[in-house]
Amino acid sequence: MAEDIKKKLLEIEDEIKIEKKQEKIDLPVDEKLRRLPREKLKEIELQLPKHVLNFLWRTKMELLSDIAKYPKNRTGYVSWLADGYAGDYTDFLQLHVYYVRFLVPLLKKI
Amino acid sequence: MEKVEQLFEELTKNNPLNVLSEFIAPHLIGEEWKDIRKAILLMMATQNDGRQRMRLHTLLWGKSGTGKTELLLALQEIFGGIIVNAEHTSKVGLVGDARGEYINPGLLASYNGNLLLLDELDKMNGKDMNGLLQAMEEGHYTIVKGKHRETFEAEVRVVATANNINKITKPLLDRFDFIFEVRTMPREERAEGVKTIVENFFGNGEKKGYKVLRAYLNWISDFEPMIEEGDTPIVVEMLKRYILLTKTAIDDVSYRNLELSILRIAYAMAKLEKSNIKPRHIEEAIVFKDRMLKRLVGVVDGGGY
Repeated sequence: MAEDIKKKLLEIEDEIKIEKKQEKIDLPVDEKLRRLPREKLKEIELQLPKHVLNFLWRTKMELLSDIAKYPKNRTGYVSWLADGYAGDYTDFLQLHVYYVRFLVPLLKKI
Repeated sequence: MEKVEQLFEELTKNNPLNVLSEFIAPHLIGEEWKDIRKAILLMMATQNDGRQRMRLHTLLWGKSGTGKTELLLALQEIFGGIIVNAEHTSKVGLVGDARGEYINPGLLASYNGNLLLLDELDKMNGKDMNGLLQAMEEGHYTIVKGKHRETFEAEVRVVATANNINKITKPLLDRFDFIFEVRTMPREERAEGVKTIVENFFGNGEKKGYKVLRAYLNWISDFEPMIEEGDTPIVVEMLKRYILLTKTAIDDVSYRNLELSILRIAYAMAKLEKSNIKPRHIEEAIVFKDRMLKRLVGVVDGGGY
């Protein structure tokens, strides 16, 4: 049966026209972050687990998505502190972890 | 076109993996090439999939003259992939760099959305290997240098070749779902394959099946297999049993390259059949992956199969 189908397909190969299906538009997370209004981001971040929201409050972060602006290294940490956020380097790294672990999946869904 | 679709529909129920994989580089003969062809087809089945985690990557390694580069050339012809020699790109920079005010995204960003055919991966420099690793896993890579931090899309599927597998970093090896050693063929096997080579050499070049293959992959491209709720516990049990019972030396194989890889392969198998993911796809994926792993990492004493 499979061989028959194969043979038939090869016989009509020249007639086959490939109409490309429209590709799905799945924006990368960075691009979504750029495009989403702050209000909408706030709404999305309300779905974060409670311990993450508490941690944001403790580090004076209004939105977890803001952490993406700072490189995950010492230089990024210094800029983050200079912008008025509070915490040690471990807290800063923890925010990056939360961002990848909890926020990126939420952004991917939309 | 209706006739074509009807035939495609019939093919979904008649092992499309076996049938269609035969169109890929049939002039490369020998037992391991059958699995390599299937691996490539599974990769291509999820080529345009929106779900990045479903991407599969393949590595072929072995001595020169075993047909590795031949396969890359064939894939370039069939799917229009881009062949890149890893040794040469290291001079240009696959992943780019930042200097002064400017960021050069490198070649990898320009391959976004494509099939990347990387020859001599073992000769690639460490920086490029790291960038490639990130692109294979996440579909993008980031250049960080001083105040610069920019992310570039690089949604690529990779088929790579290497002479020496030991020169490739372990994390990068871990990203390849399929790793095949291509061996020099025994004389008897080589003699058996002569017929195929001669037929292909003198063939009129029109009925290669490449168009059938591309049309079929395009036809299934917007189908996304799901798993039915009742099947989830069965799948969990199958994977658990496999891990506990296999004789294959899987202890150093990461979950990404085992459990997740099996799921990705099963997803691609289901997609080829335009079907939801069933336990039989998981079983086939386990058998396929296990056969490959046995050749790669060997077996241990004990275990059940």
